[in-house]
Amino acid sequence: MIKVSLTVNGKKHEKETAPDTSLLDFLRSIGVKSVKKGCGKGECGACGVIMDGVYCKSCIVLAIQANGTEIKTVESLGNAQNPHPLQTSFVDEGAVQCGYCIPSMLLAAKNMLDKNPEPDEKEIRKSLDGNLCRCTGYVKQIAAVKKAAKIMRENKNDQ
Amino acid sequence: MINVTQFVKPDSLPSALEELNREGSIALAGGTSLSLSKSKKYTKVVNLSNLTELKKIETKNNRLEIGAMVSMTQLAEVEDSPFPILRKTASSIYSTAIRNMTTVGGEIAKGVYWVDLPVTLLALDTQVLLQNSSSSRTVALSEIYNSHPSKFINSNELITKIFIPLQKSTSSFHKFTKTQVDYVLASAAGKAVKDGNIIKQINLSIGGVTPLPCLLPQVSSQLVGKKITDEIIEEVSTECCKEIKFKPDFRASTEYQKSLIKVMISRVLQDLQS
Ligand SMILES: Cc1cc2nc3c(=O)[nH]c(=O)nc-3n(C[C@H](O)[C@H](O)[C@H](O)COP(=O)(O)OP(=O)(O)OC[C@H]3O[C@@H](n4cnc5c(N)ncnc54)[C@H](O)[C@@H]3O)c2cc1C
Ligand code: FES
Ligand code: FES
Repeated sequence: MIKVSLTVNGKKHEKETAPDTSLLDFLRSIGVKSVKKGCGKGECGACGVIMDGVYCKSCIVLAIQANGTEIKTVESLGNAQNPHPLQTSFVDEGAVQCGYCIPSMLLAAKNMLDKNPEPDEKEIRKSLDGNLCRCTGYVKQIAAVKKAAKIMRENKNDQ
Repeated sequence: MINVTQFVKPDSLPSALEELNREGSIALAGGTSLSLSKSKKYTKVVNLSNLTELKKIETKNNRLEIGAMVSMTQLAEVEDSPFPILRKTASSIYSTAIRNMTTVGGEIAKGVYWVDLPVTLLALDTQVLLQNSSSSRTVALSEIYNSHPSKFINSNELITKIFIPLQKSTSSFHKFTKTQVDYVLASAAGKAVKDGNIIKQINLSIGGVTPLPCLLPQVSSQLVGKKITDEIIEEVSTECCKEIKFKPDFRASTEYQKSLIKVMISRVLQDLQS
């Protein structure tokens, strides 16, 4: 067993785990259930997290590799009382059906918008690549990211 | 990875190389492949992610030097790159999350049919710097790929940098996948040094259809001294299949692979024409 210590959305966690545990399984074992398991090998995107500012798939990161890092999951964006513009736009545009892919979709979009507040459609599509959705067909999610980007720019201008 | 008892994250290259000297040690770059390893032979993982000296892209001594820990995203974002095909190749790789983590060293060391970057690097005459704690050697990437990275690179050695000669040339990369997020079915790259319209030197390489990406030395040498015409493109793109040992692929019959390679090579040659 190897001790892993990391921060999830500002809160410190420490736990012993097997050396081959993925970050995905580690996060779920400490109760972070918004990070979903689909394929477990880097293909579907359900397990996306932001690790030290980098969007990655937590099933192909070893838990021990993430030792000492700062992990952000969808809970870092907002909650039902105080949602992030991406969350409101996904709801408003009807971009969510079963919801399994949505935490990663939101994080992938957030990671892109942090670097590129004014993306064109091609850039939005590229940012969501590798995040498979079996329900929606992607069109509404692309529209939702476009809308959120606009709201975020307006919010910034108002400040 | 189940038998790993030690996980180290050195801050400098010399200490990383020292750590790799112990039997059972393995280097971890992006981890996109190693994290899934079921191997029981490793007891120590040496995480390279703190080695900032391996994350640089520089132009030095008339060559482009790229550190082994440069990610595909970093490579895809280089502005004014002397080789736009490096950007094109890196940004064609699978998905954003994979490109964010996958490194140049990992792409070369992985040694599987679907890696894309080596196809382009082979065409660009890339040299690879391999270092262990007491010595270093610079070898052509083609030499590593004529063998296999897992055989050629010793367990205590690291790929630390790659060198691409800066030369007035034209280059091109084309890849075919069924969707954006898919493993390659066939790809081709090429670099040509020309005197006017006449080819002085050319490298053509392919990926996806052979166990490892490889150069096509025979058809390439036939092109030297010639002008690329539509007839030549037709001839070479057909002829090149004779030089290729196609691997079985459940997604594509050999006939289909051949027709894809023909299209990829034609597109590359069309780009090299201008
Ligand atoms: C779902 C998925 C899809 C993918 N699709 C593609 C694709 O379409 N095209 C593509 O090109 N790639 C693709 N990749 C990436 C590719 O398959 C490998 O995972 C990647 O190249 C490994 O790079 P890494 O930096 O993560 O290496 P790691 O996983 O950290 O290491 C892989 C191996 O390389 C060795 N290694 C790493 N760096 C060095 C070094 N500097 N010196 C010596 N040895 C080293 C390690 O010891 C290990 O044996 C995909 C990956 C996944 C998971
Ligand atoms: S569970 Fe991680 S990419 Fe599918
Ligand atoms: S909403 Fe169901 S998988 Fe995307």
